[in-house]
Amino acid sequence: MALLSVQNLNVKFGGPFGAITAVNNVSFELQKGERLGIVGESGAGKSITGFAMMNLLNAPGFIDRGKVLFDGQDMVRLNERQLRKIRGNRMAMIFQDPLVTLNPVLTIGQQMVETLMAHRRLRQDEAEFIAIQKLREVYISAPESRLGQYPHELSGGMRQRVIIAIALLLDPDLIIADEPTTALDVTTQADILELLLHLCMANNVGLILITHDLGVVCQLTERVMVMYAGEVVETGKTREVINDPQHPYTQGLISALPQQTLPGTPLKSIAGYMPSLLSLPEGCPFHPRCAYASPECTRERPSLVQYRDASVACHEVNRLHQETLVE
Amino acid sequence: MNDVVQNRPLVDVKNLHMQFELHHRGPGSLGLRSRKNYVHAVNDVSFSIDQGEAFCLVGESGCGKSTIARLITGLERPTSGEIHFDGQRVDQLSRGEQRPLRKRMQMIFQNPYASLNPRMTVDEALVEPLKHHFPDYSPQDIQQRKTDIMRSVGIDQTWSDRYPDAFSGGQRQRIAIARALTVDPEFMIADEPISALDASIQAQILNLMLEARAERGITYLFIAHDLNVVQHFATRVAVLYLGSICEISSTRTLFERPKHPYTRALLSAIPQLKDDKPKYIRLRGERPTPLAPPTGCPFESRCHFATNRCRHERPRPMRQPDGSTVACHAVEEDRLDD
Repeated sequence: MALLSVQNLNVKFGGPFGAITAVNNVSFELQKGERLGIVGESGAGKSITGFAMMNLLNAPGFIDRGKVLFDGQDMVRLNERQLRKIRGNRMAMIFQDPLVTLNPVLTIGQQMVETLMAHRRLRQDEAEFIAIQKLREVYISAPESRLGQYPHELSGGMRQRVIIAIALLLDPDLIIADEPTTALDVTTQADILELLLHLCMANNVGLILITHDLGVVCQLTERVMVMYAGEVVETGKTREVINDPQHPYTQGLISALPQQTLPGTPLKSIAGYMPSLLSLPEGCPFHPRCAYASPECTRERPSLVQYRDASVACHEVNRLHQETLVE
Repeated sequence: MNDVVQNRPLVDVKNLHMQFELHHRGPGSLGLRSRKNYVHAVNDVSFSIDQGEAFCLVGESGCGKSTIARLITGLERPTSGEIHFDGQRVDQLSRGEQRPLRKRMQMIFQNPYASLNPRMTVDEALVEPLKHHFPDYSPQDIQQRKTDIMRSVGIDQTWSDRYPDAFSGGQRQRIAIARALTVDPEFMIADEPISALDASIQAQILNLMLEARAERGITYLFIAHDLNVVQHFATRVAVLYLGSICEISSTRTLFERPKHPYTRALLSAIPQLKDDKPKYIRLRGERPTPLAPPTGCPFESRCHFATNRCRHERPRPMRQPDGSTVACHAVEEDRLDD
């Protein structure tokens, strides 16, 4: 059985102009120890998908439809007490900004011990022992003395290490990391990515990595899911999707990267802008920006169709595929 | 035309220093001894930018790249050092004296949500600098110029009467660029102009800036932390670390043969799409605080090649055979393995 199975997830946000759909009919599975990347631009619904998996959405956001099965239990139907047993314990989340995640008026030690004692029957000194061990695992020097420090005394990279240590405290099965390195410098980012990869592999922890950075996805994940305007447009093995993208949006995203074009020459940009979720176009949400759009694309919403090892939601790709089959 | 301008760089920065004073409250306010602390943001930075170049400052947060940009535009005054623009010394000018320069030198900022006045329509935002810098233009002239700019930057006429909140980040950055272009500047400082934008929009804005360079001959000082973008846009690059320049080199040389150990580490840290990624060079320790920068080489505490000399003596920028300039004892002593 898959560790996590998301089925037809729909997330909506209520508002004065009626509910808008932020995540539309998203389904995917994650095996134990597997690393999945969710890629997309701002407003694509990737973070909301992450929150929905933990059932952490706040009003006006709500899960309208669908299931999030974690180890067989539907996160959508559990009550707060049952959820608390899973969150932090078996499923942990890492956010972009470590300064916001850590409580500024509690020491690192207090925050770690608090988390441990909330879930396990431990004495103070036992909890501190585990905390020190976890800090050492994320390569924090002199972990004993760090316990007494406050978040502001640490550098950004160090804080993100502490966050990862806290996420790992209770040996979770799944870590959801939402842009974990976006606020960090490149060299610090490289350190943190290496650390995350190492820890996930060593402890067989599943990872859902939410990011806009294709390079980061490439380094960390085995599978990738590309989202656009609340929908999954393509999913497959990371390496294959990056090397041979099928959906026009994924193709555009990859060829827009500066390293894909000769220096100084115009970049291949995707024309236009991401549509507002308030006024999504009919049919395929990408069609107004798509060079291959046909009349069908303006009318009918494409669904994900298996294409080799990948799944693609594009009328044109499916048509191409069928044509090659006929030949 | 090239022969004329090559003698004199458009922008010339000499031994620039900038220190920000930190006021310590607490014991001092109780009548106890108060101590002044200084953030050493820029330490002895020198470089020049020739006409038509896209000169890029690269470095991690807190390395002083934005401070340098603000010093050149005259938004801050340097602690010491000189800044020359087109032969004229500009770092000590009064606000009034700076005004004619503003027309020649424009700046684009990182956050397009903060750089446009929320109470000005697109039309007003574009007309304001024109009225200010060209008081003798007739209303027709101004309208004409505004429409020309809007067309060349890809701003739809229907945007005119709308306020910035109606636009996305990429659209706002387009408007900010249009506003900077209205006065027909020679020199444009762009401080992380695309870092806040989505990937598919980044390419649009970068293209727009490349176009302005090709068509209007604008010289750029471009500040970025994304090395892939730098490689694409810049003609020459200066790598900054803790307020000092490690290496200045043509873009090609820098990416093909980086010399300074920090540049090498920085290049190795870029997340790549390809499998044949060079091994990431992990730096030791943490960056020192700019409150008390090291007396020797600023990078010494994190460098794998540091020796006793690096600890005590600040390396001077040295010209290399391939035209780059590197400040590193290890490079000078030829101690680096290639």
